[in-house]
Amino acid sequence: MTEHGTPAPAEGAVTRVRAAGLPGHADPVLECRDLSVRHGSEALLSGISLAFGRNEATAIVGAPGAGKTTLLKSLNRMIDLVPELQSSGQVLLDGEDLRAPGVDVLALRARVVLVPARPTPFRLSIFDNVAYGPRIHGLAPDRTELERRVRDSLDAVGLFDDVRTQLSAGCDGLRPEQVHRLCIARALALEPRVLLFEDPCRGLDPAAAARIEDLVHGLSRRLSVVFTVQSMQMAGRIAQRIAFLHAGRLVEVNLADELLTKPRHRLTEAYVTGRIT
Amino acid sequence: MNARFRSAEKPLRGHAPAGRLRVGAGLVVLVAWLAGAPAHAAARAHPVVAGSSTVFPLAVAVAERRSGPGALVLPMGTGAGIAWFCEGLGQAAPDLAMASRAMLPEEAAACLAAGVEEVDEYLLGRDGIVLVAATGSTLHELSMDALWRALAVMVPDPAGGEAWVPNPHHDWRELDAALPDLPIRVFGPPATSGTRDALVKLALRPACERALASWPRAGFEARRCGELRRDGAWVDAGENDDALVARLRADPAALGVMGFGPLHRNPGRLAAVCLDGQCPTTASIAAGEYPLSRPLFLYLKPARLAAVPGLEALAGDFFSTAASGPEGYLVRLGLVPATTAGMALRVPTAPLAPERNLALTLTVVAVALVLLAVGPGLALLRRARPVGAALERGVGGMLWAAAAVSGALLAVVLATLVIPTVGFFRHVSPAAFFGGTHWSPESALRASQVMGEGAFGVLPVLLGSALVAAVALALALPLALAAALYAHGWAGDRFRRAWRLGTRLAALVPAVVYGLFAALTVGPAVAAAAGALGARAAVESMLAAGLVVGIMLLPALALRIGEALEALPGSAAESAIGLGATRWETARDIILPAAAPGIGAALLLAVTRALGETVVVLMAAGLAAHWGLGLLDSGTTLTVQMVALMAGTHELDNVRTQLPFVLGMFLAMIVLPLNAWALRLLRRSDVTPSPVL
Amino acid sequence: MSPLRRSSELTAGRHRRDAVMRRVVSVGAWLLVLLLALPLLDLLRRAGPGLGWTTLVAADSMSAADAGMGGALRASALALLPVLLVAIPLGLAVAVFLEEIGRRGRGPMLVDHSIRHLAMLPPVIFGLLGFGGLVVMLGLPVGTPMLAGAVLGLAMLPRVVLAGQHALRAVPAEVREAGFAMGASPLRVVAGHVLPCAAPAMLGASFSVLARALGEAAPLLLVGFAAFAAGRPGGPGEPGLPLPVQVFRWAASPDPLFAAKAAAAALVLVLGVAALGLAGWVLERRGGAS
Repeated sequence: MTEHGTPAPAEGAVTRVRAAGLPGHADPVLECRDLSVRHGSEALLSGISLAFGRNEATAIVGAPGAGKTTLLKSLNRMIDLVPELQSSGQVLLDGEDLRAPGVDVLALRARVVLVPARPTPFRLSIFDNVAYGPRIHGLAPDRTELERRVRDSLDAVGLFDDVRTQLSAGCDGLRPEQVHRLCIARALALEPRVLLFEDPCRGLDPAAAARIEDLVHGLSRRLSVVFTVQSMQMAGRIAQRIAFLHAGRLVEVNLADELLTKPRHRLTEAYVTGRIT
Repeated sequence: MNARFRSAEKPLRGHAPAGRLRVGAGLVVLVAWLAGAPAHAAARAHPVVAGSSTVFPLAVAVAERRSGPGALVLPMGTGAGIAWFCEGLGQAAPDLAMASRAMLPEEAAACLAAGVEEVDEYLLGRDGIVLVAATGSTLHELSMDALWRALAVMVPDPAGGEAWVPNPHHDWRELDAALPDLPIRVFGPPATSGTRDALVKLALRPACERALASWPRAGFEARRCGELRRDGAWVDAGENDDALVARLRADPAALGVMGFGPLHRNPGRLAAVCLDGQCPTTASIAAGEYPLSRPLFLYLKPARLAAVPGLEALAGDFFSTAASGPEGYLVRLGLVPATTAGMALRVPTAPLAPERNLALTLTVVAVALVLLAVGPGLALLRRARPVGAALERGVGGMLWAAAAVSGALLAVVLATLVIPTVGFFRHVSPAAFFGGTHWSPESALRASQVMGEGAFGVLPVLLGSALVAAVALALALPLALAAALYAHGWAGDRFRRAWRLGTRLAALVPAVVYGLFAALTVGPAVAAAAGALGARAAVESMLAAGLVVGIMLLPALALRIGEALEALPGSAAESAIGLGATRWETARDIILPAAAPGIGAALLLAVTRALGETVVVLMAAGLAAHWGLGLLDSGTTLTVQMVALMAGTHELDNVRTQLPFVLGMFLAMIVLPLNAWALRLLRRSDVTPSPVL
Repeated sequence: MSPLRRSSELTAGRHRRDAVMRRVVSVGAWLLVLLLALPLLDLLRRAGPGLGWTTLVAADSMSAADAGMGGALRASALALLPVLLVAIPLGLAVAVFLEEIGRRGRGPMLVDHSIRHLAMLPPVIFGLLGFGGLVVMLGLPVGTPMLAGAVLGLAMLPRVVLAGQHALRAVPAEVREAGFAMGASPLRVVAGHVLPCAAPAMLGASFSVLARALGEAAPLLLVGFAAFAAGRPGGPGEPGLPLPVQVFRWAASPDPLFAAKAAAAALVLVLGVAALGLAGWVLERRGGAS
């Protein structure tokens, strides 16, 4: 019942694992400090303290209702959209508290971009879809810059070759996998610091899902990526680090390989082996 | 295995014949009962009284004092009432007709032709046609000649020419320097009214014929002597005396034509105009000194006395001491009674044969069979027991029949509208109808009742409908759009839940409530506001009607727009926020464009709802027959005219009686394509509309 | 200044526009609520002098002091019976047929199409149909709750069908497949599986239809209800004006007491409609939840 080498924690207590030699913690791009989110008397997240590393992919894993999406959306303050929720604690982007007064939420979301589940294109042309972000933030003062961003983003997701001749066409003819890529390109056009994915690959057939997983994995080498996912295995394939949430609490965070093969908390082990879902 | 199945079936087969017998017997009994019941229930046991709106208050006073199956009293005008009365001896026609003039020979001939061989005429009393104005008016005295010159369609040329000219007089002072300087505006009853007949016969025609005698080369035929001018100085203001009183009080310069009863009943509010030196009082009317006094009649079919239990007592009550005696309640209402000694009613010689109503019986039986098959049939099928295939086929067949009947409903609706329309367009050219700009359906139910054809240009009526719809949508669309955006974009969960329930309930609020609001509050408020700004507005303005219809449209429109906003697939809106767009930018760039077809459909459905609205406009703008084309004037719409022109007669072979159906057809022809467009838009969008009723 | 706090003209403008639009739409929403409340508040204000036992119970009369809505209440109740007992079951039956049994074929599609259009027609037109079909052809007596019920039933039938179809479509395909998989015939699947699932929504819709029928006056004005009905109807064949028509009649009078009574009657009408509507909503939610 107790973890190896550490004192037996109380039920649900945070197990922060700091192993030597792990990069990222000295200079995390995003960090939560004692973040809690409540809905009335019900706690959706309790005392989450977690750091997300630069230029790496971190997976937030857990059962439905564990608080993954709540945590993800707290990272770019999209949680503010639900007035019934109250948050406390700090979320730091490069050391600066996002939740401090005076922070421009729009500027934040241009830097920490969320790609929601079930990606849906806007009813605009492919070009306008990808250009939407830079346009509203005024990031592309002239057309050449806009075109450059669109081209680079589509290229980065591997879509440019497929659609280069139909940039001004609508999105109706795109396959689901292409839609996924398009929505990622939309986010990339902002040249963000952090990409947040809510359950990537949901609704894709296994072959397409594998390709998107590769895409995300590839993106994480030059960007910081945080994503939520239910399946531990998929987390292991994409992410370098995994954080396991259960019932609103952070149970364990560790390198992916370590967490999957040597889980330290019994809940983690139960989830990895499939005894809880 | 087989043995098991077989033994499960055996007991049922054993019971089946007895069960079927029971069910069959039950059905036969039920059908027999059903065959009798509707005919019995639809057999009329109460008296129906129809006709003159002058006699109407008197008839109501009599009817309400009777116990037993109450009478139904319909004020539709003497002409319409007698026409309906003379349709036959069956229960479909009224038993008693109220008239403010004597029955005409052609009306009696129509009665005879329809099989009504005996009609008894009872003189109820006398009444006067009075000209009234609101208290405080400066117009007290008129000569009959001045009255005719003010109202006739053509008059002697004031410039002294030989031929008569279309009536050029616009002020009373032009006719007589002693009269006040007021515009000529007289509200009076429509062509179906006996009061109008009496005015023409007693006042206008004699003066006209006298004038014609001095103008040999007038170029005007004597038979046109009763025609009234149509340029707005005379206004057909409907049958409703109460409404007329209200209009007069709102328009101090106007005069109204009504019976003596309403004048007598509204002592403080109205002042009568004396004609040729005679002022209308009970004495002057009874003595016949007041020039426009006329008799009031009741027409009774003696054959109906046996068929309708309360008819004899009701008819007798008119002449009872309590009613017509010195302090009788009818006298207090303004009746000048013919007799205070009571009246004996003639008893018929042969009883009427009972009526058979085959169509109704068949319909009820058919409907009941379908319902029986469906209800209990489905319940039987629900139980997990093997059931005969016959039952399944039976239930399935009944369901099919139900669907077929409902589909036939459309055909019946169309037939009801198309047949009279076709008949109508045989007499009136489509060009005149669709292109004409003058609407005065003065055609009578009898060719001789009023001279001249009516004008059937539907454009002013259509314009009225369009105006109301435009005002309504101008108010409702921005508000509903804003509110739906707020509820689905910015507001929290609690607000949204309350909002959904609230709008659904608000959409159920009946139109009469809004009509009441319009008539009592909004109309006067708009008129007052316009007055304060220097404009003149009728109390029953189209603006008021349009505003209230707009309020009525708000819940359904907001609901539908909300559905369109919510129906967006997937996470487009969330993606936009995730990219750093503001809520407003998301709404403007992503949500609204995607929801545009759904919003368009909602708009179209609101337009058709506004075009089809009847009650609110009826109560707000009244059954007025004078229409300006402006927002601040009172006007009319297609639906209001449908109600106003509906006579109770079953004979739909006459232009006047076909009119409501023609208007209905026209309305349907406008509404159907708009709805079809809305459905197409909905199919294109992703909205599954909830059937908001 | 940190990049997160740097607020350019552009960003400031965006925030400002968002705040302004938020204010505008919330004002719109509250204005809508206010406008919807106004007629009801006006009713409450005006109904005062008209409220009383006489107004509630007595029959209609010429004199405002003696007039009451007793006859109208009975007439409305009697008029709703045909809607409840005939139009609603018939409409639901048609919906079942169209959605479950007769899906293919030109006939059912034609019926489906025409019912959808009928449901969107203004109810006034059904008054014309009522006159032609019910009064002239079937000989129903004018001014009686029987006729009122028949006309209202006709007017509501297409809407019931539409609502029934909506309820049936909301039943997930798995329910039907479960039934078919066990070898049940289509009718059995419907009766045993689909209908129980759709029943709460159908019930809720039925109540909404009743509420709408209770408040509908326009088609009745075309079939001889613009009249005076003496006494209170003892049965569906005796004259009686349903409540909305009674309000209409009283509202036309210049007598302020009649206006107050009209408001009182309208209040009763609103209460009745609200009760039916709420009942439908509750039944729908409770049924759907379980």
